[in-house]
Amino acid sequence: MNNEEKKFKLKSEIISGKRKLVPELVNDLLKSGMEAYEIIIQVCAPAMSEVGVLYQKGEYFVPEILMSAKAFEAAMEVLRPYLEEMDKKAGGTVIIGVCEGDIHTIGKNLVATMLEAAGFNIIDLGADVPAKEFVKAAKDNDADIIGVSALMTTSMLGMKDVVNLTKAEGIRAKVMVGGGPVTEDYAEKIGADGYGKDAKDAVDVAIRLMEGE
Amino acid sequence: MESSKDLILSALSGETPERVPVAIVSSAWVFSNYGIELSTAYQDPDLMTDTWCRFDKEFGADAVVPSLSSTIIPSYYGTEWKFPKIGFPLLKKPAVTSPSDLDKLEKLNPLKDKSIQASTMHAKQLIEQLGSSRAVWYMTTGPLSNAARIVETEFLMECLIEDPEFVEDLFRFSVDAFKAAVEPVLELGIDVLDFSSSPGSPDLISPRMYRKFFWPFDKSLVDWIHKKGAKAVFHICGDTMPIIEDMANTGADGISIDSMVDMSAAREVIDRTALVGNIDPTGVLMNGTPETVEKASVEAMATGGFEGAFVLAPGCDVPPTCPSDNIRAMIDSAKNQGKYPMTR
Repeated sequence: MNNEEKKFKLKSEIISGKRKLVPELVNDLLKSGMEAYEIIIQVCAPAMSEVGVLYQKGEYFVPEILMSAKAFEAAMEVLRPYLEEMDKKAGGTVIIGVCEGDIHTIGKNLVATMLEAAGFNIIDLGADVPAKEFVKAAKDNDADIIGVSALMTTSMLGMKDVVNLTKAEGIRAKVMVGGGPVTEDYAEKIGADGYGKDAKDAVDVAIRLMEGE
Repeated sequence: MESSKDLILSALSGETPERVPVAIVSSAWVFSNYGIELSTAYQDPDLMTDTWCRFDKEFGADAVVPSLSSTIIPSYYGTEWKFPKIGFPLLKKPAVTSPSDLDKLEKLNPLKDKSIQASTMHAKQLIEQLGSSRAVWYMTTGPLSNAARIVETEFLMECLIEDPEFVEDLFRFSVDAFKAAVEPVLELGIDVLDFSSSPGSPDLISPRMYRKFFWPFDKSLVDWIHKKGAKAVFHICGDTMPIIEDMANTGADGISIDSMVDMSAAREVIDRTALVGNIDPTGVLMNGTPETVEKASVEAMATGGFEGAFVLAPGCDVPPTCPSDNIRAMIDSAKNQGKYPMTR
């Protein structure tokens, strides 16, 4: 296999969610002289973006995306040490987590993976995160965006607290929200800066927020 | 005049009763409305029964709904939870984290579990106190929903692709545990057994995967419920339109649908199988007003239940913070504006 073939193979392995061959393909590309950053930009990110499109088209569902996310993660594991000298702020810093009272992390994890693939620096606070921890992390890391996820109607109410506290503390991070029961109307009502309908949409919204819209 | 019980049984038989029956299928909301903490309620049959009797007297819905809560069977096998002050329990640690753990689990013995005993006793008390006039609608988190609480949902989703054999073993195990817990309740003579199969939702997996992994178990469960003499109501969360025909093909008497499903479209596909639903628990019941609840109820009745075979109910579990006036408005809408024959 020449390099072009290897790139093509790596991309298709990520899209079809097969992670076994991924580390070897990534290492081969690195050995051939390709930069870690280029592998992400030219191969891994487009692969995940394609996965997002397949999901939006109704061809992929959660199990398929999870498998692709794992294959992507397998590539990132090899690449991360090479990225450390890079300016992580290039794509902006995102604090991400699931609302207090909620432990449904699948959606949040997918958004985090897609954002990472798109070049964002991700600080993942996990699940059941109180509003003040979102805001503290945003302050400590001078974050550009706070992403708040919820699957339950009861926990979704916590999004409002994150928005209010962000404003009260006067920090610059924009708040975007998403998850099962969250609607654009709701996001608007609580004063969030952005709403991501799904993982793919969330990336587009984050990029728009970075452009200062 | 038909009793509440008649109304519900007639609707679930695909017939047209005197009016649209209404059921508040959410013990979480009912308990919260009376200030009762969920974590203590589920072990206290007298408290649960008193609370439902109070609700019945004050609100007068057509069903009383004893339940087997989402935590009980997974907890039996060691799943750990966090109970927030307001809201639904959160899974902290699943009972099974690797396929080999499953082999170590024993068969479920309902006599060994206080919550299962309490739930059974609670159902018995409601049958004795209200069962002649109201439908006793036993609501359960179904076995395939429990499976996603015995393992973590994300792990289940991965196994659907990487370890299909384990998924089948897990589902079979969970169905057996469910049957062992619920059989004593069916033998008491409840009217309806309501079960969920929510990881099968098209919001999570493809219809193809639903048909392959979930449907055979859902179908056999419906058969079993019928053999035991109860009506089967079957719920999956989310937009179930792509699999609603499959859901009806299990032979379930009622398909309980979430608020995003279009009633008219669902009706067209499932013919005389009853629809149960689908008032939006968040947008309408929690955040709406009695007026918006009434409007949504009238619309649901006109589209889903124009010619019967319909029970007005929330689309999914009701948030504990939903105002009681909205619940009352929903019940009153069915009573005042749900009379048959209906006019458009």
